[in-house]
Amino acid sequence: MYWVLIKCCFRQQFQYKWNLLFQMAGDWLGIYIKICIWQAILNAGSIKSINFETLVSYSVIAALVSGLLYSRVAEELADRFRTGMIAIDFIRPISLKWYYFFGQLGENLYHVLFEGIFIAAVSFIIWKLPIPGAGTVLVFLVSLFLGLLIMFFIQYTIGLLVFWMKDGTYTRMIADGLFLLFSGIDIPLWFYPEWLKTLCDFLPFSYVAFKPVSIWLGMQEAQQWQKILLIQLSWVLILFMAERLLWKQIQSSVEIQGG
Amino acid sequence: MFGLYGAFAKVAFLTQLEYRGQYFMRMIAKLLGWSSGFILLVILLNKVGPVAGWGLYEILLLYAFDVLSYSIAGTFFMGGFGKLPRLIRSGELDGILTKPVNPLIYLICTKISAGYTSNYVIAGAMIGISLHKLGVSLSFYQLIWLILDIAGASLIQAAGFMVTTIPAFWFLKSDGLYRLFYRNLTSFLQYPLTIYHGGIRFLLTFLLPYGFINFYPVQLFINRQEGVPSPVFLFLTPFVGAFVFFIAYRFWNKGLNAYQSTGS
Repeated sequence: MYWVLIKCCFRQQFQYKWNLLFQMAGDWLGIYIKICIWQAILNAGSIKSINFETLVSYSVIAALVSGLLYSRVAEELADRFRTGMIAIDFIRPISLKWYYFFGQLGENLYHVLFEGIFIAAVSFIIWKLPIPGAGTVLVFLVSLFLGLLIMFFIQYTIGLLVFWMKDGTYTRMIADGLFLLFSGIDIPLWFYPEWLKTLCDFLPFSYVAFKPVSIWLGMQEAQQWQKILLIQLSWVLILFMAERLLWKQIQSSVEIQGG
Repeated sequence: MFGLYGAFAKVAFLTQLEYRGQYFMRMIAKLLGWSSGFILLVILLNKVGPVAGWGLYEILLLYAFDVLSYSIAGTFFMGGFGKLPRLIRSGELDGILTKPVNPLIYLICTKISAGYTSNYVIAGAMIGISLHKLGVSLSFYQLIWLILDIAGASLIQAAGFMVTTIPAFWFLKSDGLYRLFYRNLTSFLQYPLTIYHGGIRFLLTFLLPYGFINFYPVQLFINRQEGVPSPVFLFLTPFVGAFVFFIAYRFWNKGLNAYQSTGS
């Protein structure tokens, strides 16, 4: 009887390990594909201003950022709305928002630290990628944190829209699509035509991925790191206020329905 | 009196607005969904020019073949196989097994997804436009072959779904398998397989023949012959499709048998 239990739990753990392995392999493949693409592009010779190491570093660090950004907050909000649990959140003294943020961050950090850093370290060794100085790394980390906050606020605010949308799936898809296009997470924004790049500068998305990564890379952009951090802070504030506004709206309209 | 009508009207209007709002959101979401991948490709290729000698429209052809065959396969198989673990757990699969119809056919017919229809139109249009821009005009014989290729490619995609989700019969959480052996490996197909290490090409040709989804068949239409051990490869897609689907079907039956023999 216990033997069956042991076998069952072992099998579960075993599968869990396999899943982890598969995940790592999958992430590896993703980076490998990107690197081959960069190689092929550089071989064609039309891009002279950027070198291979920069492109590879970009892809690796962007992949790390991507891992940290994973958030189910929009779905969680939709769930709580559907089940009615959201009513409790109105009277809770703790801020729901921060609860989610740090919870998700913790979970992501776990993944990134074990898997992401490992892959990044191996990549850095294999391709002999340059590592920036301590000062740059510090600024990068601050910028990264601000970027995560920005993205979280965006996702949370999108999640709040469930009060009007009733179904959160589409708003989530829209946010993800916009993020993919404008953040530079897949293709660095240097490849974008001027007009598109300017557009990206006005949107918060590029400040989540592209700007922090370019700080790490020490690119020209990054000479103005103070400006970048300032803009990130202002986006954080703007989004924070937007969210508060939305929350107030929700609270008042729900109260009217109550009773 | 009017107040009452007014109230009704207001509610009706707001409901319509909400409904419209949802519809609008859905359209935007779908538009963004299929176009973001394609837009990124266009942006990149516009800036860097041909990759490994393949120009924008040739790579778009690869992309469209992949999306179209994936959408066709997804329409019939995603509903059933994507949710296989849940079907097993909820007992729904048992219900299906009691029906007098072949369970696979039942699964396909009852779980058809309509969500991919916009993809067909877009991908189909992309194929048409790309061929046009490349100055390729198809003879009747070639058109038939194109259709056969898409059919074959869809079968390969479906087989890929099936083989990587059927392990749900044995393992509880098998989605890692699906992600790695299907999703991750098919993401190699965005670009011509010649840009990767030879081992990858071998893997995607002889072990998990995803290469036949787009890389080999497309070359027939654009007069290329890269990375092929023999020109025959350009014509193999429909046959490979039928073959791997047959294997997937056998695997499915094996899974069903294992499932039924351990049942209560």
